[in-house]
Amino acid sequence: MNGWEPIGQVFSDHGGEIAVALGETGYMVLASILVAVILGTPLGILIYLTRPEGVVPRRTVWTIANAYVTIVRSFPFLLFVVFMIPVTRLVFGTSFGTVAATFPLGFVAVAIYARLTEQILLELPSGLLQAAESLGATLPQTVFRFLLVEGRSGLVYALTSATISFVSYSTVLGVVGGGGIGDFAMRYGYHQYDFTLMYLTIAIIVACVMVLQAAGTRLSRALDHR
Amino acid sequence: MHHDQPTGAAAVHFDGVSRVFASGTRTATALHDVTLSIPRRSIFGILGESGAGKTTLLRLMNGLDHPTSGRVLVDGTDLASLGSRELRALRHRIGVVFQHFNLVGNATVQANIALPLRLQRRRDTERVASIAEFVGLSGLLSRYPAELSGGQQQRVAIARALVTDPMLLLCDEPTSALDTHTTSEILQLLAATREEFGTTIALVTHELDAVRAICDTAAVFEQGSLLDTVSVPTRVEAREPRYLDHVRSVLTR
Repeated sequence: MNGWEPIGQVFSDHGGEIAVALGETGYMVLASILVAVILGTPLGILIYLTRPEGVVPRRTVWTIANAYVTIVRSFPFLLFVVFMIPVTRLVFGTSFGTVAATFPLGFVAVAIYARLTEQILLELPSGLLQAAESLGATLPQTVFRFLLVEGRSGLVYALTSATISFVSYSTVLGVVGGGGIGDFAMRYGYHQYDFTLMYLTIAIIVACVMVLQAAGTRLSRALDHR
Repeated sequence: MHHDQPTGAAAVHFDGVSRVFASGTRTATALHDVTLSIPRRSIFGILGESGAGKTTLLRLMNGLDHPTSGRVLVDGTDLASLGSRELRALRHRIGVVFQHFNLVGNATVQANIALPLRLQRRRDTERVASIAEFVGLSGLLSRYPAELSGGQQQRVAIARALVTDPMLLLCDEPTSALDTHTTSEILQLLAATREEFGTTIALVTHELDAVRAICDTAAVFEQGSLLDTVSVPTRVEAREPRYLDHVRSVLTR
């Protein structure tokens, strides 16, 4: 099976496999989005608040949180995945399969989104904090009634680009048995030279990313009244 | 709603206040040995060039900054004696209006005005509506700040500052970002605020005209020192057009 074949043929031969691979990628990406939002957002807010010039400077907390983000992000992703194998085994009993493979991606997703969150908050006008403090807002009120209200469209936009990075990272997880669309492209395109199938797979990924980007941009605009 | 009950203590009293900022080995004196009183129900100008220490003075009044030496008393209470919770409670009684409005851009006019109430877990749509009417924004409650002119945005900021019926209103260069016509409208609104609610107003500005238009007294600062306190002559024609009309109508009858 070398080179090119009709697209219809490819679909009838491999449609089921493509669907399974897409499902696995979807799982990995969705799981990363979830941890990015649930853990990455608070971590980014923490870094923003506790930095030396921040609202509540706390050197130790800031240093630790900041170091986590910097270190995890500086790892080439493939090395990080390999580096995490012992930890993944400890938690899941195996480092194989979609669920276990997603584990290292979660750490990276948190780090990426925490940094993006911090950057968005840093770009908000300084008058916002002046208003919050002079109105006697508590720290939670400052976060929920000022920072997140003004930062929400930026946060959605950043989550969109983070998601697109997660799609890319998820393909690397194919190497450690995570499956997904990247693994699929590797198996057929790289190992079996089935170019039709490989390009088809790439086209599907590109289409998914375009839909994601369009949706993210729209939602971000809808949330922004500034 | 009037704040004319106990007249004993001044609204704000500075007693030998200095504020020195230190970074590394260098120090900068923002305020040097300032003693002054802001009488209740007055509109008190704080005049000076940039770097004169005006903004520091305002931040000392709502406890966002603390004196290096001396005491700041608001409503008779030494701010140094207040814990962080009490300071927040104090800030709920002190409105602040900024040069660049500092509104929440993703909140409607209504939500911006209601924000100080929400921070105290209160909801009072009637109060929000009546204060919006007072500042002249009734028809604009569902708009967003970006859809308003600078003058309208400053009206929102004033409404936000007044919604909790503060005893003291701090204005930090409230008209410096506005054109001449809008400036005089905003100043008239501040004058009307004092008339209507009996609010004490501290007006930080570098604009002499603003002080002349509405202040009773002005403290003049230069490089952190209080040079003098000047009382501004009451200008009957500017302050009381209705009174003047009345006089005219009586005399020409």
